[in-house]
Amino acid sequence: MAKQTQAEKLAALQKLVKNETDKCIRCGECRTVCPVFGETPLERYTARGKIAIADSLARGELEFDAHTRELFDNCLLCTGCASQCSSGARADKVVIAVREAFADKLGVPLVKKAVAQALSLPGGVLETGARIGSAAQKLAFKAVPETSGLYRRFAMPLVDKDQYVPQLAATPFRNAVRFAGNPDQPKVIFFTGCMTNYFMTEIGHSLVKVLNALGVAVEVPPDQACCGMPMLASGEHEIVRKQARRNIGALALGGADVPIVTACASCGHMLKHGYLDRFGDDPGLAPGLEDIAARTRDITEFLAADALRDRLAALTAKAARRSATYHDPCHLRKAQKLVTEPRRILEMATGGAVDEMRHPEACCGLGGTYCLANMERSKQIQAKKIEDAVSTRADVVATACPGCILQLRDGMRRRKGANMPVKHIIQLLAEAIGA
Amino acid sequence: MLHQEFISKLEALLGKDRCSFSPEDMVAYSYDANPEKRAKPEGMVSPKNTEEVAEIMKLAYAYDVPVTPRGGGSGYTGGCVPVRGGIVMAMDRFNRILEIDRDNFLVIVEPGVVVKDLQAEADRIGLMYPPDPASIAFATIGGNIAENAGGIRAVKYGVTKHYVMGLEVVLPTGEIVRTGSKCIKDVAGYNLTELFVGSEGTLGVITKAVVKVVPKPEARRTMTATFATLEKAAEAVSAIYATGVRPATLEFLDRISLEAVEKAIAFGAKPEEGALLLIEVDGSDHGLDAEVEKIQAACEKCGVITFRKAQTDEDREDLWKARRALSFALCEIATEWEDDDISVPIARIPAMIRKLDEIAERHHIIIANFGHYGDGNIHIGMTTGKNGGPFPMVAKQEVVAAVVELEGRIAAEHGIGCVKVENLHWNIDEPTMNLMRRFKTLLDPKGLLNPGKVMPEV
Repeated sequence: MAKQTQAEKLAALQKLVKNETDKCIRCGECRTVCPVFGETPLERYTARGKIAIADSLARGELEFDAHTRELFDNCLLCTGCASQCSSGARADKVVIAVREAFADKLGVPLVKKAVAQALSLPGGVLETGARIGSAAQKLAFKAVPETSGLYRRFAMPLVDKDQYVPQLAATPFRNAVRFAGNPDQPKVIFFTGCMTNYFMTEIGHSLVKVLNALGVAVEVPPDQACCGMPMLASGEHEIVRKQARRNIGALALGGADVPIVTACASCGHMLKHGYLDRFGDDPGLAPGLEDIAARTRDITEFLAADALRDRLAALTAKAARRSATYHDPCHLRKAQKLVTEPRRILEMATGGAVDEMRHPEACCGLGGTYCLANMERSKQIQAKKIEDAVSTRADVVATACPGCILQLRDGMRRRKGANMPVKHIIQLLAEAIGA
Repeated sequence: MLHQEFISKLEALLGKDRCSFSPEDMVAYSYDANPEKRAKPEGMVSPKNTEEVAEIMKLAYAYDVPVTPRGGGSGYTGGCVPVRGGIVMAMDRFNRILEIDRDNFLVIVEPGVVVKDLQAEADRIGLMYPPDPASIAFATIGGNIAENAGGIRAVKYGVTKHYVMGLEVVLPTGEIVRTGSKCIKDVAGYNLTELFVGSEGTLGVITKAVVKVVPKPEARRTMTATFATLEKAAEAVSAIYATGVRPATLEFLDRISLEAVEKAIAFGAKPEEGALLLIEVDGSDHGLDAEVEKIQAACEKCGVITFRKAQTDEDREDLWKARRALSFALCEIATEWEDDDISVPIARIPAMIRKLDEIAERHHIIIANFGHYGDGNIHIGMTTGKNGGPFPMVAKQEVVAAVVELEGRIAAEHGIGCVKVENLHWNIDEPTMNLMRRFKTLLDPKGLLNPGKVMPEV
């Protein structure tokens, strides 16, 4: 695509913002679902506030300055407001578009840039550094008992003394598994996501184990790249465009009717909606992205489908009863509308009803790089979640997103007396079906 | 322009993070849910206790700064839009439920509590806070009290004013007063509580409220009944009341609303159906089936076309679908609507709808009517259609005239705000308006609290 001029960029922003401004009737419905507003009740943090302010920005009535940027940065992109809105206004789209404008004018904050750098190069920093990094990490961090995580040994920026840091795997998942199962069986393409590939490889291995036990083969395209959500959230859409193009190629594997499964709520949201929201008007990408969106299933969604559910029930019939509470990842519940599916699967894995917390839908406060750039508020949101989970006294907290797992484990470390293990549903399921 | 000294004193009082004068915050406090009325304040404050509210009012009085209190900002009539500038006082931080007194059936709340949260807390211990406006999920109790909000259960349970037993109020000049009590029978002094309920934030800032709750009904039943015309439906309503049954909810959709919903969600309306009643009864489980039978019999006597009963919660949602889909469905007919919220004595609803039909015909416009039949509250949507020309504003005035002729009120539950100020004289005669003005001047001699609302200024 030819480079856009400043005037074209502004016109595009105006058009996008106007589209949402026209839908928003400013009723205030979004006030009660926003985790940020819940901590700091200022109207600028609500979806309608952001839409109104974006409208003024786009029309040149407000300046693109650091002060205004703060409020657009202060959004977890949980999509709670958009999923709740009776008029269908998409504040999340507005936030992303405005962040792009800010990135263009003022640059991207260093911490977000660093994350983008680490994730945006396939075969780059994380991958080649995995083996060395994994060893080096152990010098700087102590292991957290009962998990594969670490916490720091000495002071370092952005990592306080209680910060839970996931351990870099010695072998990234995609290096370990290319194809698993019987080539004659129906297969799925596994979009691993970065967290599963580099840090929580056990999620990937669990997924393979469960699907293979159900007679489904798993293919892991080696060329897949980060979905691009962190960069999209930082306003670096040109990086995301490249990732999208690369993933279209990587996931084309196997043909049109092969489902793409993911065990990461945010990757799933990105594959289903995020790409199309941003690049749906790019004729070079749209057909490929539509194909990806149509084929993508969250792993719980895939397993809950009629064809597999009964077989899964048979496999888990003898699962040991354990009590589990469930945290709804925002990008699963609000963005993908998957509410009953993960619960059904979890119930099979634990042999009984989910021990619901009071607000399973409440955000964990991670929000990708939000937790680094807005640490204090992120921790406030996290603390509420942890209290809610702990009050159930369940044996385990289950969820369906590696990002949430990271945040919940960190929260458990910070809360005195809390030691509930946090696991992905697919791990519990793999445990339930045994060897 | 705010005086620099005034700004410094506010910052000293609240700290820099609870007041703002930044241009983007001024945008964020410039609106409510009214589609047209916008006005930016010059500052915003976010107090967290009564004393701070009092200090802010004293400062505002010292520096002659208008103050506009704000709850959830979900009103339809621009009630919290700062039309005279000055500062907006956002009450969001008053968000605690202070006490639930099960034995005395009351709850003490701060005004920033969201109504749904209050309902949920009451529900947890088997109690119910009945006022139930459509915005309960995000409107605050302070805003509900200031607007005397209604809702779908008003026909049996009344409106917000029937549930406010006492208030703590900061007067415009900064004094803190307490009205009412925890007692059901209380004639100690004037009934000042009701002076503030529905005053739209023009007489004082509510900082605490004692609200009444009732035992939660054990069960409810939901029904819909359709008729060829609204007149037939009206006969049915009279017949229902004659049985002695008092529905908790009695909603209606007229022909145009019904057609719009059918077009949008195809819920199964027949072409001959020109009116729909949505009826709910609640109470003890064993008595309800008999009530449903009586209602069904009454409807049948009046030529009901289809009568549906909900057996399960899912069925109930199904019956509510048409009512809930309405706003969305009407947007399919036209995107630009002139809305109004009026009420008439309930027996006059058919007469009012006839007059509205005449107005629609006279001005070649579409008028969709729906709302709370049981309490006489009609929500009117008027439009010239999708590609229609400009809306004939004279039609709006004719609606007002029709309301007054039928002894109705020009505002039922959405307040006067700043959008109906010029029409208030239709309902309030000059001596009564003068009395209202005297109250206002007595409490707010400088006219600084929520100026430009409710009454025309002299």
